[in-house]
Amino acid sequence: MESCIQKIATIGVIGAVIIFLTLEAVVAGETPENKYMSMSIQQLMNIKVTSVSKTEEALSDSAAAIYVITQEDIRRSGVTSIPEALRMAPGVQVAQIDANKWAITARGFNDKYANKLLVLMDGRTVYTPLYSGVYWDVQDTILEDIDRIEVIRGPGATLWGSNAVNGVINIITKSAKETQGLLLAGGAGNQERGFGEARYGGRLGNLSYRFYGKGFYRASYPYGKIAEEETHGLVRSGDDADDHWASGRGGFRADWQDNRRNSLTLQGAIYTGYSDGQDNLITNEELGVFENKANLNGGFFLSKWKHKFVNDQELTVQFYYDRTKRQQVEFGETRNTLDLDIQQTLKLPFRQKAILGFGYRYSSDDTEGIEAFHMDPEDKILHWISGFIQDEIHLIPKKLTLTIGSKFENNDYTGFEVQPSVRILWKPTQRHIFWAAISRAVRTPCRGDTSFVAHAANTSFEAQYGPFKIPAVWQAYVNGHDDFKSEKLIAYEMGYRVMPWKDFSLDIATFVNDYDDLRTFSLISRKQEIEWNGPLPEKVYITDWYHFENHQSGQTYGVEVAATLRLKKYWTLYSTYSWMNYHLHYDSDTTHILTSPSELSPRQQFSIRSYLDLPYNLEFDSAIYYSDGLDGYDVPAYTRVDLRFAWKPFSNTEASLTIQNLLDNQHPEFGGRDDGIVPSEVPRSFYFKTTVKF
Amino acid sequence: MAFGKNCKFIFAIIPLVILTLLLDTGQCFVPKEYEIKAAFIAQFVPFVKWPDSAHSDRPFIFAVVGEDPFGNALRPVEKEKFKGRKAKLKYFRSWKDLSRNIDVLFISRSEQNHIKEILEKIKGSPVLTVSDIRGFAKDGGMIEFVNRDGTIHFIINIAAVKKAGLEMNFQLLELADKVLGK
Repeated sequence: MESCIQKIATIGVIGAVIIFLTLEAVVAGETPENKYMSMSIQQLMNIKVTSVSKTEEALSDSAAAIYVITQEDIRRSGVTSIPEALRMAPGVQVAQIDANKWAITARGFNDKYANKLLVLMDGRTVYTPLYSGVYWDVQDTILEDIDRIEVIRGPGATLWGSNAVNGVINIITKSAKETQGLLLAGGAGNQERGFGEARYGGRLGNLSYRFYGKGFYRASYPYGKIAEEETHGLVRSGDDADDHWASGRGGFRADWQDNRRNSLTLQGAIYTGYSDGQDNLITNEELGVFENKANLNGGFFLSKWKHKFVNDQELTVQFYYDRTKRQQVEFGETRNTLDLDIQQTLKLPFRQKAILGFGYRYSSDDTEGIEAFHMDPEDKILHWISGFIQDEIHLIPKKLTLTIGSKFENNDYTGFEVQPSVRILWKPTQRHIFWAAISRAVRTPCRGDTSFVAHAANTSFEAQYGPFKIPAVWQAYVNGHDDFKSEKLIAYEMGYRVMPWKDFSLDIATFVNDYDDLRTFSLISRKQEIEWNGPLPEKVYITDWYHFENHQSGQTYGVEVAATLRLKKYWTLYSTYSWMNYHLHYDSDTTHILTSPSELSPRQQFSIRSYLDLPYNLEFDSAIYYSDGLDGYDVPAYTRVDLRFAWKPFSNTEASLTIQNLLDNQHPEFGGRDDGIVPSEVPRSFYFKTTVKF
Repeated sequence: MAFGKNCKFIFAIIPLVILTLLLDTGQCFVPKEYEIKAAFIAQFVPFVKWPDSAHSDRPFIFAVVGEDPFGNALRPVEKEKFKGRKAKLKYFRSWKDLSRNIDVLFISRSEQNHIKEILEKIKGSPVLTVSDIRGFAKDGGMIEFVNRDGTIHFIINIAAVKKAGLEMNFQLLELADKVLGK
């Protein structure tokens, strides 16, 4: 109770300060001033007027559960990384494991190695075929250059392909045309120890370009109770987790356009850095906590050419090369990916719009492990060939649209996979939209499912054998195998969007996901040998073999709500609520030993964000994120409050103070037991930032 | 109860609520959009030539007709000189009170149903008309503000400018998104 009072007092003080500042500002406002008065017309034409609020736009016309995180959202939420920005979307579960690791998923099945979410940056797939998940510690760019993040919950496999099972996240950066001039930003705080960004955008005739560089160093988080329990006391709650994170990155983007028929985009970036952390491992000899620092290097090059034919049909050809190199203490992966995508839109009779697509991806990896943890084979080349067709039929123009389509994809593990979908959108008036969809998606096997080999042993424990307590040697082998099947989903979705008033909009989506062949990790055989000393047992040798299998199936279902309320011209509230539940069951003959997915994602999540424009170019933004606890990891429910104050003394300069996780000294969001890492807790933090644009 | 940490949650909102109340009772402030539009209006003047005969003996008058969206944002023009004359602001509550004895006229959105009457009233006088009412330039106004990609641009009806006996520098025409009546 005392801590509660303390917090109330803290908040009260902060509130009082804000009010005082506001009063001060209002009183000081006697002498009228308009700082734009001295600007030239050209300069005036470049100033962004307060961004268009979401309610002012028409309701999204897509027959899917989509949420858009805008540049304004990113700026005003004060987040400093892409994974943190995703907290704003409904139906997305974001849990931080340590200072540089996240478990992120949509509609459940969360884990550090969550594998049912497809993440793309400007059309480049950033999930790794190693575990079908995303290394969030290397997905970054200058956040000011992100135009928007489109978060689609539910399968997007028809358009995007395998892995788009529970959701698709599209991170879309601004065109170089929109990032002209010089931007300098930098700041520091107690966790964000220092960060800096520089970007310069220019123009040469029809060619716009930008170059950028960015670097940051983030301090480590403290351990909490979960880490203490999971390591049997080897680490103490409150101790420093040594999970620092630092990275440097440089890149460019160029956009060229000729007479509006052809456009070409070229992009590239390279990065280097490290993310530190602690592994919780059972090795041959002991149970221990070991530093596992990952050295990160990589880069990509992407080109995208668009041609518009006279009849507005469009051809897009996209090619990219992506390289990642990740060197951890006991495991290293170097991966080279080449990807070609071709899309053609067609206008067909009877108000039909079709898209045809073809794709080829090549991904070669080169892994290095140790006997206790490696891939077999160590190196592998994977190929994907895919085609898709989607037809949008406007049954009643602007009112009723039917979209049918399917992706056909061939992969090296399970061969040919078909992922069709049917979607219908009904827009009785401009202010009401109903949609429904049925789709099938698969999560195809990854290297981890098929090639992962691990060996763990514990030589120093005692086993009960009849009446005797005797020394035991326990060994476990994990073998990936090629019989692993795709995880399959048939999703039934329905949604309703409504804008009852100009200043209020509501988006409701519901789903029932029917899964089959979900991954399980089970003991498939056990051998016990006893060493006898005469009539007495002296030592027992236990050897276990584990496999990844497909022995879980069942349903998940849920509701996601997003609301936008524009109370005043200068005050907007955004709120989201998500609820979901699981009905999963194991096949009768299986013994899954890891935590069930149903215990690793919160049932309920809730958020409110408030953006308030104050007089004299001040902004006060706040956000509250609530999440239910996780049974699987003893993570209690938490409420996180972030505040941001910003001031624009000049139209090109912004200074801000962001306070994150105001209410807690620290709180856990995820555990590390199943993934062999020691989790740390999210502490209270603050940072100052200054941004200048010329 | 789902929100176990209820107390925190509520107290985080309190400063917000107080703030809003405060803002509501206090004076309203001008949206950035109109600060910028006010600056535009002042910046247009150097690009426009008024006939020599036009009231050079009185101050240069910026007028607003209808509900004033600018608040204090237009005030700073009174500190400056335009065409060698001191500037003054004039506000007309309704189009009915409108005088022809002005140099620049901004027509507020509240008057969007009276554009015809307003233009009729100042017909033949050298008054630069500016508005952000949609279709203003097409309806015979001179400069219409338009929003494009979140920034403010403008359209010019050059025929209307000439008709009023004003001249406009080509540089301003080049900056316009569209020039009507060429």
